[in-house]
Amino acid sequence: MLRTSFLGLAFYLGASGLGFAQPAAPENDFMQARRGRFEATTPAIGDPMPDLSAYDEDGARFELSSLKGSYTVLVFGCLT
Amino acid sequence: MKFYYIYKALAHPGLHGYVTPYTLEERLMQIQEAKRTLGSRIPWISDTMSNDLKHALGDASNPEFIIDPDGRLVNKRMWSNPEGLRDDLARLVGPVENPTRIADLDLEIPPPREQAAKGVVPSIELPRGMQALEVEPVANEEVPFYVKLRAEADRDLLRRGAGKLYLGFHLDPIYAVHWNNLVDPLHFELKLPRGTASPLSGTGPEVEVESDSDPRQFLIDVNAWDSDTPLQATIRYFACDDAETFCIPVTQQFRISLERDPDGGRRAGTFPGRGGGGMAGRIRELDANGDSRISRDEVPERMGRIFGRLDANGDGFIDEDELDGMASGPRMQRFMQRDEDGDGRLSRDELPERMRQRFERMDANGDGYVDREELEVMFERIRGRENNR
Repeated sequence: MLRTSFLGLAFYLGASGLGFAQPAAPENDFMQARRGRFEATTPAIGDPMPDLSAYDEDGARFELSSLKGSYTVLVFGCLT
Repeated sequence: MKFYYIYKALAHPGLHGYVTPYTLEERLMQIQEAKRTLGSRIPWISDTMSNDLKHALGDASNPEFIIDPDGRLVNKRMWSNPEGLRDDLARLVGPVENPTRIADLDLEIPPPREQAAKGVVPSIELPRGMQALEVEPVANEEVPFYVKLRAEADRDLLRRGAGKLYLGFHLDPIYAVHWNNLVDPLHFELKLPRGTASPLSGTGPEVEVESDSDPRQFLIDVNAWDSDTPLQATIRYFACDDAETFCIPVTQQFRISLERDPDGGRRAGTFPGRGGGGMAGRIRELDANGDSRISRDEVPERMGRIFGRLDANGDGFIDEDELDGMASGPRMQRFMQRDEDGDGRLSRDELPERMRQRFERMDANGDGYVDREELEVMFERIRGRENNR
């Protein structure tokens, strides 16, 4: 999964396109319900990101609120 | 433009041997392992050990977010979609004049870290629908937890305090250790101050090969467990590093609470859909309160008709038995038709030729076969990508 994400990001570096991507096919009820939960538990488009603390790779505190001044992409992932 | 990965709780503990870290330091070590295996220079942010970012940002496995220069959310996806992300960014900041392709990056992706033999100790059969329990390692300043405990309860144990308890003792690959089968095997003892269970002690199997890295698994019958009182587990084992610089006796303790761990992920090999196809897995995803059954208020209103059909006994809940009654997904059926020797799993030769180069990635437990559970993991990933196109 992460490898896919990374390669996708890498590919982005040189790609171009217009408009936000839209789902190619209608979702079934189950995926819609899951997506509904995701929508309900994440900030709305246009809202500020929550002011949360995490850590950088060296273990130093990292404030999500510091992500300003340029566009930023965050992708969640893990080893599994 | 900045890119960050956020390292979150493991989605499928046990996959490729990786297990849930107990400390921030161990999570940071997993990040270094992720960087190593990805060959990526994208920086990582580590979620807190209480998983604050995961909880605040949708509790999904692989979501992505775009933030504008003012710190406001521009777009979000429940499942990362590189092509969609590329389009979003081109719209926001403009197309790139001199594209960099993957091949231009000259990525050096090393092979997986070598571990002691896998697939030596057979996995035990477990009830379906088991849920991860909260496990607290009891601090030991002298040595790290070379062995991590995965504890799970079946639905009866969670609901009534009596049922099956799974204990899986996994070597943590970030410490590059193995079981030395020439010395005494792992031994565990359980203390349940207010309850009864059997067995209360046990010993890992005698293994013929000198060393291996398979988890040591046990299934405990719990007759009664007062949910207010944690179960205490003590293990004794020899921790032996792969470089053969040490092989030391270790005693470690864990406290297990009869409480579902919402960040426990799904143990690799037991992904939802087992025996019931992908649809059953998706229904299980609707179990918002984690009681291993789906109530009517956990499903969207428009699904009422489906709910009634699946709730075979009409008790107002869809439970594991009713999900098991669903037919296997057609995708799974197509794959299992390739099981020429009928052993219920696919060897490399039985896979479609186009998929053989990904065999090692699919064979999560490294036993040389892709079983139904490992196929479900792959299907779930495919479904995630399909639903984000």
